[in-house]
Amino acid sequence: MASVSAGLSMASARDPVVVGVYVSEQARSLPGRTSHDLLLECVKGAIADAGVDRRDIDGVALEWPGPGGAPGDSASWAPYFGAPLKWVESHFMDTTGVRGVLKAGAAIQAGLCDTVIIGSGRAGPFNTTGAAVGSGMGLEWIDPYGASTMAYFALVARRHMHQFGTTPEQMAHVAAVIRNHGRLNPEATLHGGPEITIGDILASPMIADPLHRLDCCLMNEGGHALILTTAERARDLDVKGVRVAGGAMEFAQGNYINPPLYRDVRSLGQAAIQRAFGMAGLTVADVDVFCMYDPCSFEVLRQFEMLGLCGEGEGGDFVSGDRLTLNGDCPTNLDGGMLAGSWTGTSQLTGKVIEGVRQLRGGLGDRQVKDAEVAIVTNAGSGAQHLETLVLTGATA
Amino acid sequence: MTTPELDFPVTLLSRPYWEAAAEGRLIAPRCNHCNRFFFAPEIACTHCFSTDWSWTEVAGQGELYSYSVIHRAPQPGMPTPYVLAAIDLPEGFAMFAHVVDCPLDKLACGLPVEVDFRPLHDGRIAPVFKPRQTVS
Repeated sequence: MASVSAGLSMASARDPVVVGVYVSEQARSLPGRTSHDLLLECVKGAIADAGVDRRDIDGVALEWPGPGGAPGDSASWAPYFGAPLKWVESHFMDTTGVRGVLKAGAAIQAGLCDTVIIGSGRAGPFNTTGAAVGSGMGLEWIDPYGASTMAYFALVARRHMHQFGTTPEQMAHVAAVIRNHGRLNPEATLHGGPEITIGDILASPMIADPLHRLDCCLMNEGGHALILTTAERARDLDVKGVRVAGGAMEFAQGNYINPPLYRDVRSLGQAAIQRAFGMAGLTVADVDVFCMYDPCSFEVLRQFEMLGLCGEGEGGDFVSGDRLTLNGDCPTNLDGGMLAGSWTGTSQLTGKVIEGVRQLRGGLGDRQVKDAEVAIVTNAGSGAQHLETLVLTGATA
Repeated sequence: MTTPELDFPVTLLSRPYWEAAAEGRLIAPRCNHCNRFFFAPEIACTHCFSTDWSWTEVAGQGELYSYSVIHRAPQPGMPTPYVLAAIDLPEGFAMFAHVVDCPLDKLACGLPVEVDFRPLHDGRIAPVFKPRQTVS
Protein backbone atom coordinates (compact mmCIF):
# COMPACT_ATOMS: atom_id res chain seq x y z
CA MET A 1 0.00 0.00 0.00
CA ALA A 2 1.46 3.30 -1.09
CA SER A 3 0.15 5.21 1.89
CA VAL A 4 1.82 2.77 4.26
CA SER A 5 5.17 3.00 2.52
CA ALA A 6 4.93 6.76 2.66
CA GLY A 7 4.22 6.56 6.38
CA LEU A 8 7.25 4.38 6.98
CA SER A 9 9.62 6.53 5.01
CA MET A 10 8.66 9.43 7.24
CA ALA A 11 9.70 7.55 10.39
CA SER A 12 12.02 9.77 12.34
CA ALA A 13 15.01 8.60 14.36
CA ARG A 14 13.16 8.62 17.71
CA ASP A 15 9.88 7.04 16.58
CA PRO A 16 9.09 4.09 18.88
CA VAL A 17 9.51 0.64 17.41
CA VAL A 18 8.69 -2.73 18.99
CA VAL A 19 11.74 -4.98 18.77
CA GLY A 20 11.17 -7.72 21.32
CA VAL A 21 8.17 -9.78 22.46
CA TYR A 22 7.61 -12.76 24.71
CA VAL A 23 4.63 -14.81 25.88
CA SER A 24 5.03 -17.29 28.74
CA GLU A 25 3.08 -20.48 29.13
CA GLN A 26 -0.56 -19.66 29.87
CA ALA A 27 -2.81 -22.01 31.83
CA ARG A 28 -5.62 -21.99 34.36
CA SER A 29 -2.99 -22.83 36.93
CA LEU A 30 0.81 -22.89 36.75
CA PRO A 31 1.76 -24.93 39.80
CA GLY A 32 5.02 -23.96 41.41
CA ARG A 33 5.28 -20.67 39.53
CA THR A 34 5.22 -17.21 41.11
CA SER A 35 4.40 -13.87 39.51
CA HIS A 36 8.01 -12.81 40.02
CA ASP A 37 9.53 -15.83 38.31
CA LEU A 38 7.04 -15.62 35.45
CA LEU A 39 8.03 -12.00 34.93
CA LEU A 40 11.73 -12.88 35.01
CA GLU A 41 11.09 -15.44 32.27
CA CYS A 42 9.20 -12.83 30.21
CA VAL A 43 11.93 -10.21 30.68
CA LYS A 44 14.69 -12.61 29.64
CA GLY A 45 12.57 -13.87 26.75
CA ALA A 46 11.86 -10.39 25.39
CA ILE A 47 15.54 -9.40 25.70
CA ALA A 48 16.58 -12.53 23.80
CA ASP A 49 13.93 -11.94 21.14
CA ALA A 50 15.10 -8.36 20.58
CA GLY A 51 18.76 -9.29 20.64
CA VAL A 52 19.61 -6.42 22.99
CA ASP A 53 21.83 -6.44 26.05
CA ARG A 54 20.00 -6.08 29.37
CA ARG A 55 22.18 -3.01 30.06
CA ASP A 56 20.68 -1.35 26.97
CA ILE A 57 17.36 -1.11 28.78
CA ASP A 58 17.11 2.29 30.43
CA GLY A 59 13.35 2.52 30.93
CA VAL A 60 11.16 0.07 32.85
CA ALA A 61 7.41 -0.32 32.97
CA LEU A 62 7.37 -3.73 34.63
CA GLU A 63 4.92 -4.77 37.26
CA TRP A 64 6.74 -5.32 40.55
CA PRO A 65 4.96 -8.23 42.23
CA GLY A 66 7.31 -8.55 45.18
CA PRO A 67 8.16 -10.11 47.51
CA GLY A 68 9.91 -7.13 49.04
CA GLY A 69 9.94 -3.56 47.86
CA ALA A 70 7.16 -1.03 47.76
CA PRO A 71 4.08 -2.61 46.16
CA GLY A 72 4.15 -2.15 42.40
CA ASP A 73 7.25 0.04 42.35
CA SER A 74 8.93 -0.57 38.98
CA ALA A 75 12.17 1.01 40.21
CA SER A 76 12.71 -2.21 42.14
CA TRP A 77 13.76 -3.72 38.81
CA ALA A 78 16.65 -1.26 38.36
CA PRO A 79 19.42 -3.55 39.68
CA TYR A 80 18.48 -6.25 37.17
CA PHE A 81 19.43 -3.92 34.29
CA GLY A 82 22.89 -3.14 35.51
CA ALA A 83 22.69 0.62 35.41
CA PRO A 84 20.64 3.48 36.82
CA LEU A 85 17.34 3.67 34.95
CA LYS A 86 16.28 6.87 33.24
CA TRP A 87 12.52 6.30 33.34
CA VAL A 88 9.97 4.11 35.14
CA GLU A 89 6.20 3.66 35.05
CA SER A 90 4.56 1.79 37.90
CA HIS A 91 0.76 1.82 37.78
CA PHE A 92 -0.66 -1.64 37.09
CA MET A 93 -2.57 -0.37 34.05
CA ASP A 94 0.51 1.40 32.64
CA THR A 95 2.95 -1.51 32.83
CA THR A 96 1.07 -3.36 30.12
CA GLY A 97 -0.63 -3.22 26.78
CA VAL A 98 -1.52 -0.21 24.71
CA ARG A 99 -1.26 2.21 27.61
CA GLY A 100 2.18 0.91 28.44
CA VAL A 101 3.32 1.17 24.82
CA LEU A 102 1.92 4.68 24.33
CA LYS A 103 3.45 6.05 27.50
CA ALA A 104 6.80 4.37 26.92
CA GLY A 105 6.72 5.51 23.29
CA ALA A 106 6.08 9.09 24.36
CA ALA A 107 8.98 8.89 26.82
CA ILE A 108 11.26 7.58 24.07
CA GLN A 109 10.18 10.29 21.62
CA ALA A 110 10.72 12.92 24.28
CA GLY A 111 14.26 11.69 24.78
CA LEU A 112 13.76 10.62 28.40
CA CYS A 113 15.07 7.14 27.62
CA ASP A 114 15.90 4.97 24.61
CA THR A 115 14.86 1.38 25.27
CA VAL A 116 11.92 0.38 27.46
CA ILE A 117 10.69 -2.98 28.64
CA ILE A 118 7.00 -3.39 29.45
CA GLY A 119 5.50 -6.40 31.16
CA SER A 120 3.29 -8.03 33.73
CA GLY A 121 2.19 -11.48 34.73
CA ARG A 122 0.43 -13.46 37.37
CA ALA A 123 0.70 -16.81 39.06
CA GLY A 124 -1.40 -17.44 42.11
CA PRO A 125 -4.21 -15.23 43.32
CA PHE A 126 -4.58 -11.91 41.55
CA ASN A 127 -5.35 -10.24 44.85
CA THR A 128 -5.70 -11.22 48.46
CA THR A 129 -9.14 -12.76 48.01
CA GLY A 130 -8.24 -14.72 44.89
CA ALA A 131 -11.22 -13.23 43.10
CA ALA A 132 -11.28 -11.59 39.69
CA VAL A 133 -10.67 -7.88 39.19
CA GLY A 134 -13.89 -6.06 39.90
CA SER A 135 -15.16 -8.62 42.35
CA GLY A 136 -12.75 -8.66 45.23
CA MET A 137 -11.01 -5.31 45.44
CA GLY A 138 -13.37 -3.86 48.01
CA LEU A 139 -15.49 -1.95 45.52
CA GLU A 140 -18.22 -0.31 47.51
CA TRP A 141 -20.88 0.05 44.80
CA ILE A 142 -20.14 -3.23 43.05
CA ASP A 143 -19.60 -5.88 45.70
CA PRO A 144 -23.01 -5.69 47.39
CA TYR A 145 -24.81 -6.31 44.10
CA GLY A 146 -22.39 -8.88 42.70
CA ALA A 147 -21.64 -6.89 39.54
CA SER A 148 -18.93 -9.02 37.97
CA THR A 149 -16.80 -7.90 35.04
CA MET A 150 -18.83 -10.11 32.71
CA ALA A 151 -22.01 -8.61 34.15
CA TYR A 152 -20.76 -5.21 33.00
CA PHE A 153 -20.46 -6.42 29.43
CA ALA A 154 -23.74 -8.30 29.76
CA LEU A 155 -25.65 -5.12 30.68
CA VAL A 156 -24.34 -3.43 27.54
CA ALA A 157 -25.00 -6.48 25.37
CA ARG A 158 -28.58 -6.83 26.69
CA ARG A 159 -29.41 -3.24 25.82
CA HIS A 160 -27.84 -3.68 22.36
CA MET A 161 -30.09 -6.71 21.84
CA HIS A 162 -33.11 -4.67 22.94
CA GLN A 163 -32.40 -1.74 20.64
CA PHE A 164 -31.04 -3.49 17.57
CA GLY A 165 -32.21 -7.09 17.69
CA THR A 166 -28.70 -8.48 18.12
CA THR A 167 -28.98 -12.21 18.87
CA PRO A 168 -27.16 -14.68 21.13
CA GLU A 169 -26.33 -16.63 17.96
CA GLN A 170 -24.53 -13.62 16.45
CA MET A 171 -22.46 -13.21 19.62
CA ALA A 172 -21.79 -16.95 19.79
CA HIS A 173 -20.54 -16.84 16.20
CA VAL A 174 -17.82 -14.38 17.24
CA ALA A 175 -16.83 -16.61 20.16
CA ALA A 176 -16.77 -19.73 17.97
CA VAL A 177 -14.63 -18.11 15.25
CA ILE A 178 -12.05 -16.74 17.68
CA ARG A 179 -11.95 -19.89 19.81
CA ASN A 180 -11.37 -21.94 16.67
CA HIS A 181 -8.49 -19.65 15.70
CA GLY A 182 -6.80 -20.74 18.92
CA ARG A 183 -6.82 -24.35 17.73
CA LEU A 184 -4.02 -23.42 15.29
CA ASN A 185 -1.84 -21.45 17.72
CA PRO A 186 0.57 -23.64 19.70
CA GLU A 187 0.67 -21.00 22.45
CA ALA A 188 -3.12 -20.83 22.86
CA THR A 189 -4.74 -22.64 25.74
CA LEU A 190 -7.21 -24.29 23.35
CA HIS A 191 -4.51 -25.34 20.86
CA GLY A 192 -5.30 -28.63 19.17
CA GLY A 193 -8.74 -28.83 20.74
CA PRO A 194 -11.94 -29.90 19.01
CA GLU A 195 -13.77 -27.51 16.66
CA ILE A 196 -16.27 -25.38 18.53
CA THR A 197 -19.68 -24.61 17.07
CA ILE A 198 -22.24 -21.90 17.74
CA GLY A 199 -24.33 -24.67 19.29
CA ASP A 200 -21.52 -25.47 21.73
CA ILE A 201 -21.36 -21.84 22.82
CA LEU A 202 -25.13 -21.59 23.32
CA ALA A 203 -25.23 -24.92 25.17
CA SER A 204 -22.57 -23.86 27.67
CA PRO A 205 -23.78 -22.70 31.10
CA MET A 206 -25.06 -19.16 31.36
CA ILE A 207 -22.68 -16.91 33.32
CA ALA A 208 -24.21 -13.44 33.01
CA ASP A 209 -27.19 -13.58 30.66
CA PRO A 210 -26.85 -13.17 27.64
CA LEU A 211 -23.21 -14.28 27.99
CA HIS A 212 -22.56 -18.01 28.23
CA ARG A 213 -19.39 -19.49 29.65
CA LEU A 214 -17.95 -19.93 26.15
CA ASP A 215 -18.81 -16.31 25.26
CA CYS A 216 -16.29 -15.32 27.94
CA CYS A 217 -12.49 -15.32 27.82
CA LEU A 218 -10.32 -17.79 29.73
CA MET A 219 -9.06 -16.74 33.14
CA ASN A 220 -5.47 -17.89 33.36
CA GLU A 221 -2.07 -17.53 34.89
CA GLY A 222 0.77 -16.33 32.67
CA GLY A 223 2.76 -13.30 31.59
CA HIS A 224 3.74 -11.13 28.62
CA ALA A 225 6.53 -8.64 27.92
CA LEU A 226 7.73 -6.47 25.06
CA ILE A 227 10.58 -4.09 24.31
CA LEU A 228 10.40 -0.74 22.53
CA THR A 229 13.28 1.31 21.26
CA THR A 230 13.98 4.15 18.84
CA ALA A 231 13.68 3.61 15.08
CA GLU A 232 17.36 4.51 14.87
CA ARG A 233 18.44 1.76 17.28
CA ALA A 234 15.96 -0.71 15.83
CA ARG A 235 17.75 -0.50 12.47
CA ASP A 236 20.90 -1.94 14.08
CA LEU A 237 19.11 -5.02 15.42
CA ASP A 238 18.65 -8.29 13.54
CA VAL A 239 14.97 -8.51 14.42
CA LYS A 240 12.34 -6.92 12.16
CA GLY A 241 11.01 -3.90 14.00
CA VAL A 242 7.34 -2.96 14.09
CA ARG A 243 6.59 0.73 14.24
CA VAL A 244 4.05 2.30 16.58
CA ALA A 245 2.61 4.56 13.89
CA GLY A 246 -0.32 5.88 15.87
CA GLY A 247 -2.24 5.46 19.09
CA ALA A 248 -4.77 7.03 21.41
CA MET A 249 -6.86 6.46 24.53
CA GLU A 250 -10.40 7.24 25.59
CA PHE A 251 -11.95 7.06 29.06
CA ALA A 252 -15.67 7.46 29.85
CA GLN A 253 -15.78 7.03 33.62
CA GLY A 254 -14.02 5.24 36.42
CA ASN A 255 -14.26 1.49 36.39
CA TYR A 256 -16.48 -0.40 38.80
CA ILE A 257 -18.53 2.40 40.33
CA ASN A 258 -21.66 2.89 38.26
CA PRO A 259 -23.43 0.63 35.78
CA PRO A 260 -22.31 0.88 32.15
CA LEU A 261 -25.16 2.33 30.12
CA TYR A 262 -25.29 1.54 26.43
CA ARG A 263 -26.35 5.10 25.65
CA ASP A 264 -23.00 6.26 27.08
CA VAL A 265 -20.89 3.36 25.79
CA ARG A 266 -22.24 3.12 22.22
CA SER A 267 -19.21 3.63 19.96
CA LEU A 268 -16.84 4.52 22.79
CA GLY A 269 -13.33 4.49 21.39
CA GLN A 270 -14.27 5.95 18.02
CA ALA A 271 -12.65 9.31 18.76
CA ALA A 272 -9.48 7.54 19.88
CA ILE A 273 -9.47 5.40 16.74
CA GLN A 274 -9.76 8.50 14.56
CA ARG A 275 -6.89 10.20 16.40
CA ALA A 276 -4.73 7.09 16.08
CA PHE A 277 -5.31 6.70 12.35
CA GLY A 278 -4.80 10.42 11.86
CA MET A 279 -1.42 10.17 13.57
CA ALA A 280 -0.48 7.21 11.39
CA GLY A 281 -1.70 8.84 8.18
CA LEU A 282 -3.82 5.78 7.53
CA THR A 283 -7.49 4.77 7.62
CA VAL A 284 -9.31 1.69 8.83
CA ALA A 285 -9.45 0.58 5.19
CA ASP A 286 -5.66 0.08 5.33
CA VAL A 287 -5.84 -2.44 8.19
CA ASP A 288 -4.71 -5.99 7.37
CA VAL A 289 -4.74 -7.47 10.88
CA PHE A 290 -7.29 -6.92 13.67
CA CYS A 291 -6.18 -7.59 17.27
CA MET A 292 -9.37 -6.70 19.11
CA TYR A 293 -9.80 -6.88 22.88
CA ASP A 294 -12.07 -9.89 23.42
CA PRO A 295 -13.02 -10.34 27.06
CA CYS A 296 -16.33 -11.58 25.69
CA SER A 297 -17.95 -12.14 22.32
CA PHE A 298 -20.18 -9.07 22.43
CA GLU A 299 -17.37 -6.54 22.91
CA VAL A 300 -15.75 -7.65 19.63
CA LEU A 301 -19.03 -7.08 17.81
CA ARG A 302 -19.34 -3.61 19.37
CA GLN A 303 -15.80 -2.69 18.41
CA PHE A 304 -16.51 -3.29 14.72
CA GLU A 305 -19.31 -0.73 15.02
CA MET A 306 -16.86 1.57 16.80
CA LEU A 307 -14.34 1.17 13.97
CA GLY A 308 -17.02 2.47 11.64
CA LEU A 309 -16.84 -0.61 9.44
CA CYS A 310 -20.58 -0.98 9.93
CA GLY A 311 -23.33 1.18 11.36
CA GLU A 312 -24.46 1.26 14.98
CA GLY A 313 -26.51 -1.83 15.65
CA GLU A 314 -25.19 -3.65 12.58
CA GLY A 315 -22.29 -5.43 14.29
CA GLY A 316 -24.16 -8.72 14.56
CA ASP A 317 -24.62 -8.97 10.82
CA PHE A 318 -21.18 -7.58 10.09
CA VAL A 319 -19.24 -10.24 12.01
CA SER A 320 -21.13 -13.15 10.44
CA GLY A 321 -19.77 -15.74 8.00
CA ASP A 322 -16.03 -15.90 7.36
CA ARG A 323 -15.36 -12.18 7.79
CA LEU A 324 -13.25 -12.53 10.96
CA THR A 325 -11.24 -15.49 9.68
CA LEU A 326 -7.98 -15.64 7.74
CA ASN A 327 -10.12 -15.87 4.59
CA GLY A 328 -12.24 -12.84 5.46
CA ASP A 329 -11.63 -9.14 4.98
CA CYS A 330 -11.22 -8.53 8.75
CA PRO A 331 -8.94 -11.31 10.06
CA THR A 332 -9.44 -10.99 13.80
CA ASN A 333 -7.56 -12.48 16.73
CA LEU A 334 -5.93 -15.21 14.68
CA ASP A 335 -3.95 -16.23 17.78
CA GLY A 336 -7.21 -17.21 19.46
CA GLY A 337 -7.33 -13.98 21.43
CA MET A 338 -8.37 -14.14 25.04
CA LEU A 339 -11.34 -16.38 24.22
CA ALA A 340 -9.01 -19.27 23.32
CA GLY A 341 -5.98 -17.85 25.10
CA SER A 342 -5.69 -15.88 28.24
CA TRP A 343 -6.95 -13.23 30.58
CA THR A 344 -4.40 -12.90 33.36
CA GLY A 345 -5.43 -9.66 35.03
CA THR A 346 -3.33 -7.23 33.03
CA SER A 347 -0.80 -9.01 30.81
CA GLN A 348 -3.39 -10.00 28.19
CA LEU A 349 -3.38 -6.31 27.26
CA THR A 350 0.23 -6.74 26.12
CA GLY A 351 -0.76 -10.02 24.44
CA LYS A 352 -2.97 -8.06 22.05
CA VAL A 353 0.01 -5.91 20.99
CA ILE A 354 2.26 -8.95 20.64
CA GLU A 355 -0.01 -10.71 18.13
CA GLY A 356 -0.09 -7.53 16.04
CA VAL A 357 3.70 -7.32 16.13
CA ARG A 358 4.10 -10.97 15.18
CA GLN A 359 1.68 -10.73 12.25
CA LEU A 360 3.66 -7.78 10.86
CA ARG A 361 6.94 -9.60 11.36
CA GLY A 362 5.51 -12.51 9.39
CA GLY A 363 6.27 -16.23 9.45
CA LEU A 364 3.31 -17.37 11.55
CA GLY A 365 2.57 -20.32 9.27
CA ASP A 366 -1.07 -21.30 8.98
CA ARG A 367 -2.35 -18.25 10.84
CA GLN A 368 -0.25 -15.69 8.96
CA VAL A 369 -2.07 -12.85 7.19
CA LYS A 370 -0.39 -12.63 3.78
CA ASP A 371 1.62 -9.45 3.16
CA ALA A 372 0.41 -7.90 6.43
CA GLU A 373 1.52 -4.26 6.65
CA VAL A 374 -0.91 -2.62 9.08
CA ALA A 375 -2.37 -3.95 12.33
CA ILE A 376 -4.86 -2.36 14.68
CA VAL A 377 -4.72 -3.28 18.36
CA THR A 378 -7.36 -2.49 20.96
CA ASN A 379 -7.47 -2.74 24.73
CA ALA A 380 -10.72 -2.04 26.55
CA GLY A 381 -12.56 -2.83 29.71
CA SER A 382 -15.48 -2.72 32.07
CA GLY A 383 -18.19 -2.86 29.58
CA ALA A 384 -16.52 -0.79 28.00
CA GLN A 385 -15.66 2.31 30.01
CA HIS A 386 -12.33 2.78 28.28
CA LEU A 387 -10.61 1.97 25.03
CA GLU A 388 -6.99 2.27 24.00
CA THR A 389 -5.69 1.62 20.51
CA LEU A 390 -2.47 1.30 18.53
CA VAL A 391 -1.85 1.37 14.79
CA LEU A 392 1.21 -0.75 14.05
CA THR A 393 3.06 -0.80 10.74
CA GLY A 394 5.71 -3.19 9.46
CA ALA A 395 9.39 -2.55 8.85
CA THR A 396 11.44 0.47 9.81
CA ALA A 397 13.48 0.77 6.65
CA MET B 1 -29.13 10.90 67.34
CA THR B 2 -27.98 7.34 67.04
CA THR B 3 -25.27 6.11 64.76
CA PRO B 4 -26.06 2.52 63.87
CA GLU B 5 -23.24 0.06 63.45
CA LEU B 6 -22.78 -0.90 59.81
CA ASP B 7 -20.83 -4.15 59.58
CA PHE B 8 -19.81 -3.71 55.95
CA PRO B 9 -17.36 -1.32 54.29
CA VAL B 10 -18.65 2.23 54.05
CA THR B 11 -16.93 5.54 53.58
CA LEU B 12 -17.63 8.89 55.15
CA LEU B 13 -19.30 9.80 51.86
CA SER B 14 -21.58 6.81 51.64
CA ARG B 15 -22.59 6.18 55.26
CA PRO B 16 -25.80 8.29 55.08
CA TYR B 17 -26.89 6.37 51.98
CA TRP B 18 -26.77 2.98 53.69
CA GLU B 19 -28.28 4.34 56.90
CA ALA B 20 -31.22 5.72 54.89
CA ALA B 21 -31.61 2.42 53.07
CA ALA B 22 -31.83 0.63 56.41
CA GLU B 23 -34.72 2.99 57.23
CA GLY B 24 -36.44 2.37 53.88
CA ARG B 25 -35.49 5.58 52.15
CA LEU B 26 -33.65 6.03 48.83
CA ILE B 27 -31.47 9.12 48.88
CA ALA B 28 -29.00 10.51 46.38
CA PRO B 29 -26.62 13.46 46.23
CA ARG B 30 -28.13 16.61 44.73
CA CYS B 31 -26.03 19.66 44.02
CA ASN B 32 -27.10 22.87 45.75
CA HIS B 33 -25.37 24.91 43.07
CA CYS B 34 -26.71 23.44 39.82
CA ASN B 35 -29.58 21.47 41.41
CA ARG B 36 -28.72 18.31 39.51
CA PHE B 37 -28.48 14.82 40.97
CA PHE B 38 -25.37 12.71 40.60
CA PHE B 39 -24.54 9.17 41.67
CA ALA B 40 -22.55 7.53 43.25
CA PRO B 41 -21.69 10.07 45.96
CA GLU B 42 -18.56 12.07 45.16
CA ILE B 43 -16.70 14.78 47.00
CA ALA B 44 -17.98 17.27 44.45
CA CYS B 45 -20.85 17.50 41.99
CA THR B 46 -19.70 15.79 38.80
CA HIS B 47 -21.70 18.30 36.74
CA CYS B 48 -20.28 21.55 38.14
CA PHE B 49 -17.52 20.72 40.69
CA SER B 50 -19.46 22.31 43.55
CA THR B 51 -18.76 20.71 46.91
CA ASP B 52 -22.05 22.09 48.20
CA TRP B 53 -24.47 19.20 47.84
CA SER B 54 -27.09 17.49 49.98
CA TRP B 55 -28.54 14.04 50.32
CA THR B 56 -32.05 14.25 48.87
CA GLU B 57 -34.80 11.65 49.00
CA VAL B 58 -36.02 10.45 45.61
CA ALA B 59 -39.37 8.88 44.68
CA GLY B 60 -37.87 5.50 43.74
CA GLN B 61 -40.02 5.18 40.61
CA GLY B 62 -37.70 4.13 37.83
CA GLU B 63 -37.22 2.16 34.66
CA LEU B 64 -35.20 -0.95 33.97
CA TYR B 65 -32.53 0.31 31.54
CA SER B 66 -30.77 -3.04 31.24
CA TYR B 67 -30.38 -6.26 33.19
CA SER B 68 -28.49 -9.50 33.40
CA VAL B 69 -29.57 -12.70 35.11
CA ILE B 70 -26.40 -13.70 36.90
CA HIS B 71 -25.81 -17.44 37.22
CA ARG B 72 -22.22 -17.24 38.35
CA ALA B 73 -21.68 -14.91 41.29
CA PRO B 74 -18.30 -13.20 41.45
CA GLN B 75 -17.93 -14.04 45.11
CA PRO B 76 -18.97 -16.81 47.45
CA GLY B 77 -22.13 -16.54 49.51
CA MET B 78 -24.37 -15.00 46.86
CA PRO B 79 -27.34 -17.23 46.00
CA THR B 80 -27.90 -17.52 42.23
CA PRO B 81 -29.56 -16.69 39.99
CA TYR B 82 -30.10 -13.03 40.80
CA VAL B 83 -31.06 -10.16 38.55
CA LEU B 84 -28.47 -7.41 38.29
CA ALA B 85 -29.86 -4.23 36.80
CA ALA B 86 -29.05 -0.74 35.68
CA ILE B 87 -31.96 1.37 36.90
CA ASP B 88 -32.79 4.72 35.32
CA LEU B 89 -34.34 7.20 37.73
CA PRO B 90 -36.29 10.21 36.42
CA GLU B 91 -34.43 12.48 38.82
CA GLY B 92 -31.55 12.16 36.37
CA PHE B 93 -29.19 9.41 37.40
CA ALA B 94 -28.76 5.67 37.05
CA MET B 95 -27.73 3.10 39.64
CA PHE B 96 -26.94 -0.56 40.09
CA ALA B 97 -29.58 -2.61 41.90
CA HIS B 98 -31.15 -6.03 41.98
CA VAL B 99 -34.60 -6.65 40.53
CA VAL B 100 -36.81 -8.76 42.81
CA ASP B 101 -40.33 -10.20 42.69
CA CYS B 102 -40.28 -10.41 38.92
CA PRO B 103 -40.62 -13.64 36.89
CA LEU B 104 -37.56 -13.92 34.65
CA ASP B 105 -39.71 -14.01 31.52
CA LYS B 106 -41.23 -10.65 32.43
CA LEU B 107 -37.86 -8.90 32.52
CA ALA B 108 -37.54 -6.35 29.73
CA CYS B 109 -35.63 -3.17 29.07
CA GLY B 110 -37.95 -0.28 29.84
CA LEU B 111 -39.94 -2.16 32.49
CA PRO B 112 -41.41 0.33 35.02
CA VAL B 113 -40.00 -0.47 38.47
CA GLU B 114 -40.24 0.91 41.98
CA VAL B 115 -37.88 0.77 44.89
CA ASP B 116 -38.10 -1.62 47.80
CA PHE B 117 -35.61 -2.47 50.51
CA ARG B 118 -34.29 -5.98 51.11
CA PRO B 119 -31.31 -7.57 52.79
CA LEU B 120 -28.48 -8.52 50.43
CA HIS B 121 -26.24 -11.55 50.85
CA ASP B 122 -24.01 -9.68 53.29
CA GLY B 123 -26.98 -8.76 55.48
CA ARG B 124 -27.17 -5.08 54.62
CA ILE B 125 -30.51 -3.56 53.73
CA ALA B 126 -30.22 -2.17 50.22
CA PRO B 127 -32.45 -0.51 47.66
CA VAL B 128 -33.77 -3.07 45.18
CA PHE B 129 -36.42 -2.64 42.51
CA LYS B 130 -39.59 -4.59 41.70
CA PRO B 131 -42.13 -4.23 38.90
CA ARG B 132 -44.30 -1.17 39.53
CA GLN B 133 -47.62 -2.23 41.02
CA THR B 134 -49.67 0.61 39.60
CA VAL B 135 -48.83 2.03 36.24
CA SER B 136 -49.85 5.64 36.22
